[in-house]
Amino acid sequence: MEGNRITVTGSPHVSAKRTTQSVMLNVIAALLPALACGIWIFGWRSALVAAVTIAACMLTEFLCARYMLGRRDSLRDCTAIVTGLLLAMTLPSSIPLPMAFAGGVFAIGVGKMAFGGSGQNIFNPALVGRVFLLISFPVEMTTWPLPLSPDGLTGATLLSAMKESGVDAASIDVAQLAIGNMGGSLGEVGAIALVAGWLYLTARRIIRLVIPVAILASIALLAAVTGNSVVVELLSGGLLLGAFFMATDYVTSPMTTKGMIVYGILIGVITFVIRHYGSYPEGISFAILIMNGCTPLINKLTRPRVFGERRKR
Amino acid sequence: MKNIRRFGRTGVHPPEMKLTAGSPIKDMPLPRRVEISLAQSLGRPAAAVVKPGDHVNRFDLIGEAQGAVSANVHTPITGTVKSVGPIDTPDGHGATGVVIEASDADHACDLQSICDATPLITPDGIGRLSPQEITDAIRRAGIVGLGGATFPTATKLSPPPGSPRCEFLLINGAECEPYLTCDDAIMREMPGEIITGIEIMLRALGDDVRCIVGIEDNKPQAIREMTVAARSHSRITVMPMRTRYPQGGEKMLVKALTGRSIAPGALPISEGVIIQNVATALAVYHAVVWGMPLVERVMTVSGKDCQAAGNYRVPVGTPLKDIVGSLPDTTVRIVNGGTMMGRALAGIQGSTTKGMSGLLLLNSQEAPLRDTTPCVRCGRCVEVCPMGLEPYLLAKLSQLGRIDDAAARHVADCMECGCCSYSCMAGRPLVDWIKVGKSMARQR
Ligand code: SF4
Ligand code: SF4
Repeated sequence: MEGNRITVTGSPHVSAKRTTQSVMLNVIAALLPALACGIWIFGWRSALVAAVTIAACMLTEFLCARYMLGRRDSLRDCTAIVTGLLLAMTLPSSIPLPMAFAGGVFAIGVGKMAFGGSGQNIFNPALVGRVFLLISFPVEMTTWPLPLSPDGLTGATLLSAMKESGVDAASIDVAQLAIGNMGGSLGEVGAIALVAGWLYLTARRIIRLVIPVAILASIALLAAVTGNSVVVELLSGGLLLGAFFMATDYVTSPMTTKGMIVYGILIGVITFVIRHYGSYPEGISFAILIMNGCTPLINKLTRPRVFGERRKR
Repeated sequence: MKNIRRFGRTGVHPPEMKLTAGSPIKDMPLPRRVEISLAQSLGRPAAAVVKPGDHVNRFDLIGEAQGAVSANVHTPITGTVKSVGPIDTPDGHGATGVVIEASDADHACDLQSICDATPLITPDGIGRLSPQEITDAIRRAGIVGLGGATFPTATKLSPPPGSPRCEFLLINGAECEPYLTCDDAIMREMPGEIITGIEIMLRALGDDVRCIVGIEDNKPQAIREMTVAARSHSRITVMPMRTRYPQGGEKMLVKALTGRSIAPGALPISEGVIIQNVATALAVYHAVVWGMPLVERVMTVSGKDCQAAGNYRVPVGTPLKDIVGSLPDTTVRIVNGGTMMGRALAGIQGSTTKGMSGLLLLNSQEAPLRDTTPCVRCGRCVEVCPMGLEPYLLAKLSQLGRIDDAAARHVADCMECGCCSYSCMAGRPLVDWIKVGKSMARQR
């Protein structure tokens, strides 16, 4: 009996198995098919870009946590890897590597650590990194390598082509879209792979259906009402990547189901408006960032109802 | 089974771990020495009515209730009072208690009296008792809520004048805590006695009160036995409930069984409901039919490596050492109660009380220590909180000492069920902080 080391802590004395780390590892696993798709379509340079952004994120996280917050273990929850990977997925595979690195440093340094680290940031760090790159290096960020072309020809993404040169939606081969044979960032192509990853996360109950469904449904509805092609609208412009993996980021999305519905619908609406009436062909990044900024307010307005509380009559 | 009740979609379903589910109730031998705490109820401790050197008989009163939320204390054994003063308690805080030791002759006399016991009244005698006689008998017997709250039963059965009319007596057989099987065991083995106990309480509450017994559907045999026993009583219904923690919580049980929601800060009687535990109903039966004060209860001893695992009928005041012997080498955590709301103990010390429903010896796989990482605002705690609170926020506000803000966010409504901490992927001890905030808010 003397040999026992008895611990005394508060209740409960059991807990669910899930940890932040296991959740993040699952997210990484869910992103891998889409990354593989990117490698298949754009070549090994995609993997290199991802490696660089992940390294940049991990390094920045480690250094900031170590010297600003005095925490040594901040890499363990694997959130930095997820940020790096997500950032890479939004970049063209042809991006110069130093830029990719700078994007990673900015994503974590400004997007996350400046707010106080894990769980404190308002905006999705990967998108902060992406928008930073988009504003700083507009040319490199909008030069998309053509799919399956080893000689590195570049071209426009589907949405910008439609917007700028009037490519007819009817001439687009939907099957090619679904497997990712289109111009775009290295992770946004390959709808099937993205959907597979999303279904996996949903089935493991790591993310809930609410946000992605609200986004996709609102965009589909708007497209149908305005006479645009619903399929093209859904499968292009990084929408799936954003809706499945970025808008569902725990830290920057609302807490309650009600809040999630509001948040998802507004992301859909803003995306659609930016795409069709704004100056950027892809709207999802900005839409998510805008709604990230509204999340604290949404949380305030969509508090859960305390048990037994009567609605005021 | 059709018509299965549930309280809602919140809460959690931890691994049930009902290791002792099939075990019959074993009698702990009458101890030769008991250390009985006088603080056996929610309110003030009872005042000792014996002094060292006194000889007491089994069932004698040794402590007298001090007010309506305090309860009488009796001795389970015949013997000589050794001391009245500080004793060890399981939680290590100590309490005032009475130590009684039995000689061989005393012991033999007790064993004989157990064989000779005869009931005071026959089943049809219940109808001839007045409500007052019943509540008096229950109060005299020192019965408290055996689900763990230890609120005096007689006080609960006599709502103060001006309270809403009582329509339902709900009997809590949910036993939603992992590991615990003592309520299951008594429902399987003594359904008739429990139903008689319920009948007695119904008699005290009035003829228009109906009773619903709620049992979670992970206890099919208990549901069957209780349904059969209740068959001839038109006012008693047994209802299965879908297994979900914390269904045994007062407000959850009322919601599941009657569909009514108790307002924040209100008591069940505000919705015309009174709740008693199944074990309490059994104690009422023993008190009224056999004239036996509350000096023993059934409790679960459990844990994967626990040799002594089982359901035991234990005299109140039995030293815990007598029950578990020595600790298994692998035990890293000792819990008084269930794993969701029970208290961790520093060691095997002190003795059993009326409110003790379980003693768990857990190894490092059963009760792993968790790292605490930053909150990632995943919202899981909000999703599971049965009270509709925002645990991450309450914990943060309590930690920062912003008690007024925490109070405005209903920190007082937290039932301390632990669902939030249980589901937190960052391993944050949310309930610990919320409890701090709660008690600070109360002091204001
Ligand atoms: S469950 Fe834990 S990590 Fe998630 S919001 Fe609540 S406190 Fe934060
Ligand atoms: S805040 Fe209180 S009531 Fe809500 S889950 Fe946590 S412990 Fe239970």
